Amino acid sequence: MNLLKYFLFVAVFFSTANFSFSQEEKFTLSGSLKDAASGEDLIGARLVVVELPGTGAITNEYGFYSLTLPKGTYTIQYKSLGYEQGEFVVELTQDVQKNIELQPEGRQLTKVDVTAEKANDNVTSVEMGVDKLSMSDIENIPVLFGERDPLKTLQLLPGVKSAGEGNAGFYVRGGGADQNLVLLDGAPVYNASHLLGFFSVFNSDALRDIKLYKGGAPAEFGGRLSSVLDIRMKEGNMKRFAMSGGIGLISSKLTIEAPIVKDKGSFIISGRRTYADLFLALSKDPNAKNSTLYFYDLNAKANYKLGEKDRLFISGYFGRDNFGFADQFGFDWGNATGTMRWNHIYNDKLFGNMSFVFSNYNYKIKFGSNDETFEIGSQIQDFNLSKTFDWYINENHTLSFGGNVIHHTFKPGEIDTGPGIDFVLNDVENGYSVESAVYVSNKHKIGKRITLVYGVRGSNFTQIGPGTIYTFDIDGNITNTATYDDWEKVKTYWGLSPRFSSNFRLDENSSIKASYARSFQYLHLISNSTASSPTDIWLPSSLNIKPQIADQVSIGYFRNFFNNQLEFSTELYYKDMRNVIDYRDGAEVTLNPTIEGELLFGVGRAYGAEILFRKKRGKLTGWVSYTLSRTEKKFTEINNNNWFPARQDRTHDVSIVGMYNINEQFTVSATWVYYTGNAVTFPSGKYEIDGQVVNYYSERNGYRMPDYHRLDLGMTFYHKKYREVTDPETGKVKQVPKKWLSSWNLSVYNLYARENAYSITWEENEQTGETEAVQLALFKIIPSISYNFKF
Amino acid sequence: MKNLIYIATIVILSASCQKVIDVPVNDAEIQTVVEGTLFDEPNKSSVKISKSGTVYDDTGFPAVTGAVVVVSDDQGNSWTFVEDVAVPGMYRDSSFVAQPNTTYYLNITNGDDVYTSESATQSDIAFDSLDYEITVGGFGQQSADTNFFTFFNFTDNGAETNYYRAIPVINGKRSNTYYLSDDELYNGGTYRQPFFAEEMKSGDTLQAYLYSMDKANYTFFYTLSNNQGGSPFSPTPGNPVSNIEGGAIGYFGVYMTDNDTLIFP
Repeated sequence: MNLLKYFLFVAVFFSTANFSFSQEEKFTLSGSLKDAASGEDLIGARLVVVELPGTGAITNEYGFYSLTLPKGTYTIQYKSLGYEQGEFVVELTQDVQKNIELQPEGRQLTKVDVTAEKANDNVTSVEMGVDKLSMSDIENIPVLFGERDPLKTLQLLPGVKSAGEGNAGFYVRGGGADQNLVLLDGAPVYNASHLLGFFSVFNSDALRDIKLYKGGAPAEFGGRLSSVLDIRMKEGNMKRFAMSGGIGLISSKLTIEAPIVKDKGSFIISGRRTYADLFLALSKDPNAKNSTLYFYDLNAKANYKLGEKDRLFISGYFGRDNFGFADQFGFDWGNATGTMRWNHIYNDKLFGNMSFVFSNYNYKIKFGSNDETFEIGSQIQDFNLSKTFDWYINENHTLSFGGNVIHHTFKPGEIDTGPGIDFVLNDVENGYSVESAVYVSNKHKIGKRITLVYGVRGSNFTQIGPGTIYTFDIDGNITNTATYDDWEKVKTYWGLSPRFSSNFRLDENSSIKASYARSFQYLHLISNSTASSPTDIWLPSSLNIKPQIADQVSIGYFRNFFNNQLEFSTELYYKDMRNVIDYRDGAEVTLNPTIEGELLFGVGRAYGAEILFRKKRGKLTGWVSYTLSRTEKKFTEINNNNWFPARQDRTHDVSIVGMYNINEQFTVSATWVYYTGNAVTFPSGKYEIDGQVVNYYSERNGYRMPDYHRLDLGMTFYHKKYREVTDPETGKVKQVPKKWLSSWNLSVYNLYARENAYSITWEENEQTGETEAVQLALFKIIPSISYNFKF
Repeated sequence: MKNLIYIATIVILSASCQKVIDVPVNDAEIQTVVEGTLFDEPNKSSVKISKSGTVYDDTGFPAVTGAVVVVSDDQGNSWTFVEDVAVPGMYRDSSFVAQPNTTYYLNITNGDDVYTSESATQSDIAFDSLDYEITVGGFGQQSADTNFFTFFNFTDNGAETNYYRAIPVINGKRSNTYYLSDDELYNGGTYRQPFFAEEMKSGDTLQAYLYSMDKANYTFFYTLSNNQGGSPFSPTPGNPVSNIEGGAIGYFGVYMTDNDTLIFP
């Protein structure tokens, strides 16, 4: 536990360092900021001290702020994008608590901008490599089948790449799809996709805030190499009952929210279900009638204020895909997560959070009918206990610290047979491990120009019994078999991750930022196929699998033009990865008790440049993003130990997004994407064996898929948001907001019908016997329509 | 498993389109391909030697003639396989019969090139039975279509680690699907698996073969079945893992086998 001592030392060092120069008498102003209409907390809202330019505070994820100032009388201005600005005067002769409710800005009632930030926030904040999405972006950007999807919208930002046509999976800065930590209210979501990757598990109606850290993630986060996607659910309307919903081409959804006790507690429940299979029910064919193909999601959250200082949140997600054919075959998979969180304000400077988190992902495949059934299942399950603190020491220092312990259970292969099956198949043994971490991080303002965030995260991963543990030689053959008891330690790994990011402001409109982060990944997704598949399994670090380690440095230049109307940023990054995983040729991934022997370990490197121009305000909004990058891997056993491009290596990646507000009722939007085709392995020869002609390969990923490009178009028609009422006394026409708000959304995916290659297979022509490259293209001109409402 | 996922994708791919495109590829160096298959029955064993070709060349694969092919075992026996006059590049010995629990060695000399390999047999193997369930209708079938969902059953030897391949031949046509299995999950038990990819109708004749093989051969066939690649759910394609030493590709296997026949009513 030396590490813990180290953290305590660091924490004490920072705190004493601060107290030593706090000589004049100071008091603290603290409280929370909320939306006056719904009672939702406002994240990232700003408070500015008029008398002390450059001094202020930003609300945290729970709307809490804390500001420590010398004794005196101050005017405090508060603002948040999409809300009316306000101010109050406070006499600080003692600590003061002040909760504020902000009125949504005049005519923007239907659009709640979640990223409530100052106009030049991108320049002034210390964050780099961070992408935020507002719900209105998600609402207007056209997507496949009109199914709003935060993960697909994220793919339009620089450094984030789509895992493939129509796919919700994503790659960040050259990392694999499994190197993204996807958190829903703090609970990891192990398989974030539905229907083989075409949709994400996130129902945008239930979400409040989405943040993607591409590099330099805060010390609070760890466990994945590439990125952290932090998604938070809505909390529910504190003021009144509200309902919203949508009817779309492939799915419908409904959300209800209401106060439990007005201004004290509220809840939200949101559900979504696809209905392709309802058409099957109309079929005359009894087998088609008995077939299923659908997915559904259920999000629920409740919160309650136990007092002025305590608030309890309970949230959960449950989603499942179901695929079944008659009664002969069934396949279903899904995630379940649960979060119980307790916010406590210890005092006006110390904000604490305790969470208990559960997460489970599993799949089941069932064959046969009646008694003669055969079921294969696999799952991963987590229990996580965490405690975090934000300590607003003074206006120059904010210390965050905390820790967590996760217990992982891995069930890679559970086999069940029906009573009619008289032979026995053994399960693949379960695996267990404990992952824990402590962290401390300080946000340090030096003068008006420099802000530093520095911290360190220490983590431990221990593989524990019970179980049979195999050891393998270099060729993947078993050399040793050992048995361990319950909780007996098999292998322990330690990881120390320093984190650093900085912002140097050149002037009001520009800044330079730099960051460095080391990260450790202890869980590894075992998937040897190109697309995301529900049968991919997670394996823990163990005697045979070392943790993956990445070091990333990045530097960026941020500048705003035309009074913050136009934002420009560019970032350069270099990432070095160790112990990355690949597979022996033809590795057997499913139901293999000695799967660890099929893995190969190598190194990786990724580097690139990202450029973003973004216009956030005005009738025309949108962005242009460009990424130039390279991602390579090297393994002793593959490609003669030469560097080869990773599958997700894409030299160029361009996205153009435009949204134009023609008037109050009509918005049009368009996106165009272009990227270099993925690196693939194509044959360089062929030969005859076992009665068939097969391909001969000479290099790994030595070829490219054709370039990908596509244009999507979207249109949203809002019904009038106001009724016009003539005041009988004055004769003036007044606008009265309507209670029922609705909109139609039309979109077209792949407007110019580009046949983008989803896969290329090499086949022998049945007539001529010649070898041909056959390209499969998926979606051409897919129109869709949806209707959304809220009241 | 791959097939199952594939079925699921078909539904999504209804809006898709396929076409032949022109993809220029490099030409790899021409390889020597050895395919040695030795059985526990006379007149069946052979060693075939050929050359590889380039991707877009459809003139066939040249035979390697005039090689000296010798098979020996760990008991001191040896057989010289002689090139078939009618089939160039095919080397045979009609008297060869593989014995259980024996290691065999292959030695090929072709000019300056020498290729070697070894393969071991295990205890003999036999089907317990072939049986079927009648299914009516089915994915992509007319509702009145009757299919015979056929299973093969055998008992594994618990004292050894075994690797199996089953090959269905329906009305004389050999299936292209690889039914491979190792006993990791059912060591010493009885095993029952369906020929899930085959369609068998009333009046069809099924001849099923069961091969017991060593790990190197199992790995070869397993990796061969992943060779084609290209489908979004297949692994990155690679060459099958060969057990031939000396620079050739291909495999050498000695198999204990059984076969059984079933005629559907």
